[in-house]
Order: sequence, then structure tokens, then C-alpha cells
Amino acid sequence: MNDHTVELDLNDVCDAVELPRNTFIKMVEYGIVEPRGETPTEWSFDLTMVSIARRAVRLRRDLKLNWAAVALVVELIEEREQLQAENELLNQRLQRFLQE
Amino acid sequence: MEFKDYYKILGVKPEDDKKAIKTAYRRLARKYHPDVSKEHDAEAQFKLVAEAYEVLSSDEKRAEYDQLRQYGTQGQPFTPPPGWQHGEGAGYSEGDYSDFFESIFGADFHHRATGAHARSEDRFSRRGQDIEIDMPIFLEDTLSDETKTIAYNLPHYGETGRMEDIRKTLKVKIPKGVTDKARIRLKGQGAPGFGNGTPGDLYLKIKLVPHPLFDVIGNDLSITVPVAPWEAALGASIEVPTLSGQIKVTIKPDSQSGNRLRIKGKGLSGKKSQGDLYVILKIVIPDKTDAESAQLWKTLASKSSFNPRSDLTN
Repeated sequence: MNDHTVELDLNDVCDAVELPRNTFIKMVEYGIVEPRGETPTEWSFDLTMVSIARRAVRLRRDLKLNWAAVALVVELIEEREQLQAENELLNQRLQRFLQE
Repeated sequence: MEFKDYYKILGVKPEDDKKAIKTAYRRLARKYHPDVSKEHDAEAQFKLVAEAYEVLSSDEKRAEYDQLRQYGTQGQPFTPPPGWQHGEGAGYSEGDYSDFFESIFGADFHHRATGAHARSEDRFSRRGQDIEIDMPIFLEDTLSDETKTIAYNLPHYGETGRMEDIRKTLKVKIPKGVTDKARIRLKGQGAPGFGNGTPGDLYLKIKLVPHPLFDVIGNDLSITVPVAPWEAALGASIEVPTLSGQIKVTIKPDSQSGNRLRIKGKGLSGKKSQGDLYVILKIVIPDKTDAESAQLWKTLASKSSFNPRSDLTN
């Protein structure tokens, strides 16, 4: 019933994030989501991409951003999440090594 | 039902113009947007702000709300005055609104269906929304396929046609080797569709729960293991915990604090390969030194020419 290695094609991903095809293609052009495959008919998106697309749609709608700004925000959020995770890990490892 | 003072929520005055309201909304939207905010109740706050803006940015809704406002105070229980009915054509837009909002502007779900959808077969059918929830997983549970029971709030159309949440439980197979932030999709387990629309999907986002002993670096694990000074100096065979039980590890003579030993294949199960376990040595001294041990340390101190601070001298 559940599938975690599944990939969605363009139609399915448009359904999932409730966007018309052309608008979704724009998101790809702005580099917000990166499909596997060359042409739109061959494109496939993993589940992480679907989540990113959904976040991008929310940001655009709620903060009234244009796609260029959405691309930047999405990238910065991801970078921040990565840095936070790295920081937490380093902090934790440091704590294990230091005496209380 | 609680009265909501939309002006107060946006921090504007009732006489403020549209531009001021827009500016206030933009500022608060950035502050509370669940995707960017670190505030703990960001999502609830954002919904309130969005709802307030939805009403105050529309001339009709704002006029209707202003009329009602004389009957209520922020945070107080509120019932619309008898005979109150929202004006025709006030419209409805897609969103997740409070009871207060719906009592004024209506929650007629036919309006919900007008949020046009790219591939809807007809305008009164639409696919249900996808739901995304976090799924905490213990490191131990990633070593093999595990079946977990999850509980989540699933919206459904109640008898009155309003969206209500029900608590739903599901059994889910968590495949071996899942990684942090990986997604699992459960088809058709999201919000129900409207009309002939199919239900949405449920997305689980895996969150590896921090372990008291092991840190995760990609597929690899690391553990900090305390050793006695003599174990580090002379070498030793010590017991080290792994995710799948204790193993014996040999420490070489003259080991330093911070030295790393790699135990192949004792990390997490990855898609391509099995991760490794890194054992990091940490030399520790007993809390109390008894007389006999002190004597032994003194003997060592008098005989050793070791200068641990040779690098610090000018």
C-alpha cells in the first residue's frame, strides 16, 4: 500500500500540488524543483520534490511572492535546515566529548 | 464560538486604509508563515492572520464584518445576532477558516468546489488535499522492515457539510533503511475528495529520533566511548554497544583521546550500502584517586619524561 521509492509524473505532481501544468513547468524552469528526465513527458519527481513544490506553492500564495523570490526562499530554507542539522550534530558530539 | 477582532489580529485600526492593511498582513505573514517561522504556534497564528486579511482586504467582507463587530469583543463568546445572514455574493475562497469566520461568511461547501482545479472532471468535483505529517522513527527500527501504527487528524465532510477532523489510525510498513527526511506516500489516505474527486494522499516525513548513544552522519553512526588512561596507553579489548548488540573492539597501544576506529557494517542500512560505526575514544580519569593509585601515578610522574605541553612553549 505504501511506496517510498515512488516517483510521480508531471500530471500526478500537478494534481498533488493543485497547479496547472504550465505553472508547474515554470517552477521547474526556475529550478525550484528538479525532475529526472529530459522533456516534460519524461519528467519524474521523487516525493521530496513533491513536498518542496507544495512548500513553494504555499510561499507564493501566502507571501504573494513571484517565482524568482520563491526559488530563493526555498533554497535558503533548505540551506538553513541543513546548517541547523549540522550544527545540532556538531553540538551534540561536542557535548559528548566535554566533561559535564 | 469566540469573537475574533480582525483589526487587532493584524495590528491595524478600523479606520486604516487598504494599503495599511496589506502592509500589516505582509509583515505578519513573513513572521508567522509555517515554512519560515520559528515561532512555536506559527501555523495557528498564520491561519488567523490569513483569515483576518481575507476579510479586511475585501470591501464587501469588510463592510459585513464591520456591521457585526459592534456585537462582539475579541476573545469573548460570540453568537451572530438573530436573523443574521451573510449577504449574497460575499463569496467564498479556498482555505481553512475558524468557526467564527464560517458563521459569518458561510461554509457552504459548494463554494469550496469552485477553487478551480486543473484536471477536475467537472467544476463540482475535486481531488482531496494531501496531508503531510512527521513520523518519528527510532534508529533501531531502521534496521529491518517495521510495522508502525500512526494516528493523524483527517478532515472529512460532516453532516452539516462542514469540514471536521476525525482521528484516524493506520498501520504502516516502514521499510528497512529509511533515512531522515525521507517521505513515504500512502495513496488515498489524505483528505476526501469532493463530488467525484479522488481522495488525496498521506505523506509521512521520516524524522530519526536522536539516540542517547549514537549520532547519525549520513549512513554512518558514531559513538563516543570512555577509556581509562592505562587502556589508552597499553591497548585493550573493550565492549562497545552497537545498534544490534555489544561487540568487542581492540584499542591499539598509545591511543589518543579523539582517535576514531571504524567498525565496518555496523552503521545504518543504506539504499546502496551498509553504513559503518565510528568509535571515538575519550580518555577519562576516575572521579576519586585513592592512596594506592595516587602512589602509582606519582611513580609514573617521576619516571616519565612526557611533556604534554611541548607545543605550547615559545
